[in-house]
Amino acid sequence: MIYDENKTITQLSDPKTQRQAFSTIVHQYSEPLYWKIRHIIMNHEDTNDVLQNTFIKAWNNLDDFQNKSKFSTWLYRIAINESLDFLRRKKTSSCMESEVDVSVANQLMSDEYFDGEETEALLHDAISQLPDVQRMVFNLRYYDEMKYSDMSKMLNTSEGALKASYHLAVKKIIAFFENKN
Amino acid sequence: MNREEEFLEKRFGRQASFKVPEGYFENFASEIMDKLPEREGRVIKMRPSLWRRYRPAMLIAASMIAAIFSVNILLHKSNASMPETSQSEQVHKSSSYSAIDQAADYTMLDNEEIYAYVTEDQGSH
Repeated sequence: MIYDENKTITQLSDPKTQRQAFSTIVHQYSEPLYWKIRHIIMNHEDTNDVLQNTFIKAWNNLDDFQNKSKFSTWLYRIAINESLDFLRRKKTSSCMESEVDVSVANQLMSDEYFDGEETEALLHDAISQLPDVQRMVFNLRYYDEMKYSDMSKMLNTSEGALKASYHLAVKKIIAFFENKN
Repeated sequence: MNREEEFLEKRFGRQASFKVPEGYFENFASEIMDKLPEREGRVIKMRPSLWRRYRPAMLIAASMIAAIFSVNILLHKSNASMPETSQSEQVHKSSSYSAIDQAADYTMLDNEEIYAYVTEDQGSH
């Protein structure tokens, strides 16, 4: 079935068709949203939690969607904020519980839902060490090849700032590998 | 693409090797739909864009400003043929500044709102 955004948005505004329309949205966006979140969070279980929270938050706050942007842009924004919140909470809890610091590369190599080689795991390790915004911009640009103009709408940041963030992120990743050698 | 980005692409590619459990996406929608709470049965107002909402007011304002300018130009032309003293009086009386201010007051728009409409309008192209 072809997805018709205008029709779905109209159905969303009516309590009688709202639930069905939201189900259409979940079907349409769960996979692309999942991959965006997974690139940030890396682990499947945590990604699943963040994805569920994203849809629950969108459902509970449907009244806030004002049709100023595409519904997908609004959803992606919620997903990115949820992902950032998750990372912040994780950082805080690992600081408080003084967890044993296992590198992201090692975690990935023992993850059943990662089948890359060690060099790729190291790339994800390098990405995980970037500041939150640079990590976000790098993932959206490098893996999703998202246009800066679309990213700008999603993150409410100027295109110039996004380009600078991406450039810095690439430099830091290269430096990470140079230090490894 | 710059040299550094090219290096990353050659070494790692652009596909991450993440996997999901089998049937994950097929089952996700029904699982999440079961978890959604009931919403209060109220109609959500999907508000039209600012430009669409205020288009009538903007059109009235634009017509008024155009009319005021036309009258000023006509007055200016007719005054050009008058003696110098009466011309200065006329200009003083029909100061276009105060006329524009009145028009702006009438439409109740401030600069910030105008910028917002212009941005909104550009964004929709």
